[in-house]
Amino acid sequence: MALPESSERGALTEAVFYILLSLYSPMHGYGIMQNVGELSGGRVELGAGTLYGAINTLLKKEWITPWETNKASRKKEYVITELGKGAVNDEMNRLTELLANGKKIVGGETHEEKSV
Amino acid sequence: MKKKVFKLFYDFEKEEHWLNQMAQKGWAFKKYTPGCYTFESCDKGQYSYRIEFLKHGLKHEETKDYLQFLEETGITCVSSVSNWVYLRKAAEKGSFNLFSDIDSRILHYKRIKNLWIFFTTIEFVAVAANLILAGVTDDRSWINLSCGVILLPICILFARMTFRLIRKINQLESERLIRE
Repeated sequence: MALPESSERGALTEAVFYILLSLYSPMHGYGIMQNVGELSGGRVELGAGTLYGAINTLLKKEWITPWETNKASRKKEYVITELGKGAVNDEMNRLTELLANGKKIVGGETHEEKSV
Repeated sequence: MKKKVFKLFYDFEKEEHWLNQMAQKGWAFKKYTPGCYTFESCDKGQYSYRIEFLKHGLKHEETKDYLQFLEETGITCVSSVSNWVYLRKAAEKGSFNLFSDIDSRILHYKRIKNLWIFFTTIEFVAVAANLILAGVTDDRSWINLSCGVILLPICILFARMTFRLIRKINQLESERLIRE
């Protein structure tokens, strides 16, 4: 018996999560790279090859879709779909659970380095 | 100012490292023809380079689409041989890494590993055929023998490259068990 799609419980990669977040407003590839850099305070630098692969996989899964514009721009833009938003929500629930459990056991505050 | 350098690489990462070193010294890589690299003078460290082995050849639709995508992010394809492309980005436009997670690095290494397995197999068959012929034929067997002996080191070199890639892939795969 085939399981319904929603039973997929794998964690999203950091890159995919940030790409999906970026596409809540339509964006082209370079825009996504810059946006992810800004969102993460420069921590996450998406490689162009990695981004290209992720975009194609997300298009196939229909989590994102090409964004049609009237502008005669050569650059392809993409936008998140309802399916993609569902995946983002699932991931946020998962992350919330991780964080809650982490706080419960390790403590609420981030520990400063005690010794250098 | 232009200059040509004759050099052979079998490890693409060493080749990439060398091209970046040349750029640091003020030589921008422009064109590759087998065994020969053409450079033009540039500002020191003006460009950084990456070498990628693509899934398809240059004329394939997916490749065109990919190179167009790279172009939009400030990456230019300066030269190519079959599925190998030499990519360049101006240093002022930020750091240049094609792959930012373990999965995509593994995929890239696997494509290159398959290429080396292919070459190693061909070499191995050639060596084995020559040595077997040298053993069974009476006349002119020295031709087969010397061919076999000449090809053997090449075969070993290719096999070493294959194993080096397999080791890299294994390392990345065990790393992936704990992080992405």
